[in-house]
Amino acid sequence: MRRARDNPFAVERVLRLRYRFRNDDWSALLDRLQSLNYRAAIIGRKGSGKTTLLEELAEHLEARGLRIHRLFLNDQSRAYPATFLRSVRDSLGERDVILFDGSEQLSLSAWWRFRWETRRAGGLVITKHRAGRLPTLIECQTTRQLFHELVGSLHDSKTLVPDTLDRLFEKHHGNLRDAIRELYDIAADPGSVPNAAERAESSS
Amino acid sequence: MSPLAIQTCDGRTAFDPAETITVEVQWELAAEPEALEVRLVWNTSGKGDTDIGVEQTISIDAPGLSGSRQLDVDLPAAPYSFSGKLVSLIWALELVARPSDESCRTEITIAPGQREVLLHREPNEQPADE
Repeated sequence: MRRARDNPFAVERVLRLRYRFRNDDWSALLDRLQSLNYRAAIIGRKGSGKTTLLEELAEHLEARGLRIHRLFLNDQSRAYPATFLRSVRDSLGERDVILFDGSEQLSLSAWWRFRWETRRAGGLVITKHRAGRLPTLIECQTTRQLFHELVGSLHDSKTLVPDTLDRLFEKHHGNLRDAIRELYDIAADPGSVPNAAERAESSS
Repeated sequence: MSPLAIQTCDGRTAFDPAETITVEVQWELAAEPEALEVRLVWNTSGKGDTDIGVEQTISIDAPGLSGSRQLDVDLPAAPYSFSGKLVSLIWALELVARPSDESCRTEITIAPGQREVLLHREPNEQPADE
């Protein structure tokens, strides 16, 4: 058994991974956000890096002197964010930016109500699985190569069975969060899956 | 020398529950801190969200740019340091400068026999520290 604290795919290690741009960079992204009047959407499928990107965006906007308000909804917490709005609504101004992760949880009517109640904010950046509601700032996409790179930064992927990463990428339809969670289980029980060296030895 | 350091005076890193240990802290900072905090903390590590807790905090007010101090820290009776496949509970000593939040950390084990409790062990597997 590998202790949880030694697991290379433990959550706190995975959360330290930074967003990796494919054909973009922070300077271009921030310029684009400004040109969209700080109202835009980060789109992408589950596990494609939207939340990671949104968190890093918060750091960049704070560095520009903007005040960040975070709102997070998911399958388990999808009620209209009345408490959040009560706490910020009356104080929102030009320098306030709302980062709303999981905006697709709101119905269309709730979304428009939310837009109205936050109209005084200087910015609203949402994440969403598909385009719509706000102009697209960036579409997060995953690739096998990206998955290999991320895993390589956490663990020596040569110790894994060669096709493990490609198989997991396919199995989870490119959802890197779920694929890495399965890698956690594989790494927790190293004896249950032959590593690359053992596999080569048994096939020779 | 790093700007902050914390270690036990006798160099041990594993202890029985409810022991009192003596900790030595050293600091050499570029800006004068308002205070230093010695903290006994725990965190979880593993597959799920990370939980953290502060068991004890000892403040050193107006410590100056550099210096050293020895302090007694009472370790708790529980929970023990433990590890399973899904979660580990890790104890640590931290030294934090205020208000800069510069910090350093030394992990310790608190468990009976001074050995981390392993929740699952293969038949031939030895304890982690053997």
